[in-house]
Amino acid sequence: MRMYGRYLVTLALLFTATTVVLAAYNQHRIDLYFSLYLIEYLVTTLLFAYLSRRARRLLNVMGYILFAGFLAIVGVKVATILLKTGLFS
Amino acid sequence: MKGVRYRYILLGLGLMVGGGLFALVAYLVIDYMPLAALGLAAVILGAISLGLGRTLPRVSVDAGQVLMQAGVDNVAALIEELGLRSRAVYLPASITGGVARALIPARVNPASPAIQRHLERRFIVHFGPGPEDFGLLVATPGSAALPLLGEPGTPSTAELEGALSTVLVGGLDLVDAVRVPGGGNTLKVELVRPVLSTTPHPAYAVLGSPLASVVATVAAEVLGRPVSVASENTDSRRHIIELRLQDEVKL
Repeated sequence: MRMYGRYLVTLALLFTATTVVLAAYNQHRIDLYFSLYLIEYLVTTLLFAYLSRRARRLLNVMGYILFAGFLAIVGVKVATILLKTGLFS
Repeated sequence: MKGVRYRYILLGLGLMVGGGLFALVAYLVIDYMPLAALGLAAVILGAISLGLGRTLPRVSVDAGQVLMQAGVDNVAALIEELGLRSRAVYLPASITGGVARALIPARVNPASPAIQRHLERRFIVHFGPGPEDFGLLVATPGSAALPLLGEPGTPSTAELEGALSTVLVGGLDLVDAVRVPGGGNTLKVELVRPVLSTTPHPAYAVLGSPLASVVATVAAEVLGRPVSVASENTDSRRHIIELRLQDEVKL
């Protein structure tokens, strides 16, 4: 339980820091924010190696969901580029 | 513990709803992406908190300690009645028929008891060649914690540190960190900020405290050798347990 608290606080700090830094650099692409959140999530989850088996299972599922979101963003980007090139027109 | 579970679940729901609304307003009304991203981050954190809240154990450490008390009292009564004075030897499951147990030799012997056979799953066992090599084979708090460990790897102190962290930090959440510096036949295990109180109890003189019992059971299982608790010291932040490793049992 103490470990869960530390895990959530670490993620919250990382997400906030990322948002502040990217906002300071005037970044307005939500996909960039999401991609960095995903990387931070995966790295933090990896570093908290001793979470219980049940928690790890849940976090793995969460990782798959976030990764699916990332793939959707990539898919939209690819589709936009392909449409712009006029390949399907 | 129910309160803590609800706290995580409520925090999760609050973050998801609040973060979602915040993201929508930032995206549709203010049209400012960093704030929308912050809302998205809150939704992700909320989902994690909600999920983690559901994986929390239903029984608190205090409740677990109360439930364990009767068992410890019974073992203490047995030890006192039988006049046992020897330190318990924690044995790997391979010697005790699949379930890790601690052997309390009936005879006080300065040398470690020489275990020369697979021990039967009985309460009173004959473990050596001599007619006086009898002892009690008891389950300990560590025996019950062992399923959290999974399959141990190659016997080493690094593996032991990992296994103890898996059980005590991740599985039971009883300490903040575990360190096993050095090696050899005497191992020092350092538990950082333990939450279990170690109020003296007559059973602890033979078995060690519940924390020491879990540490010794895991050590016996990971290293594949009988282990006994040589000493325990507690200061404000740390609980230091010294384990004595015995020679590997050749059966």
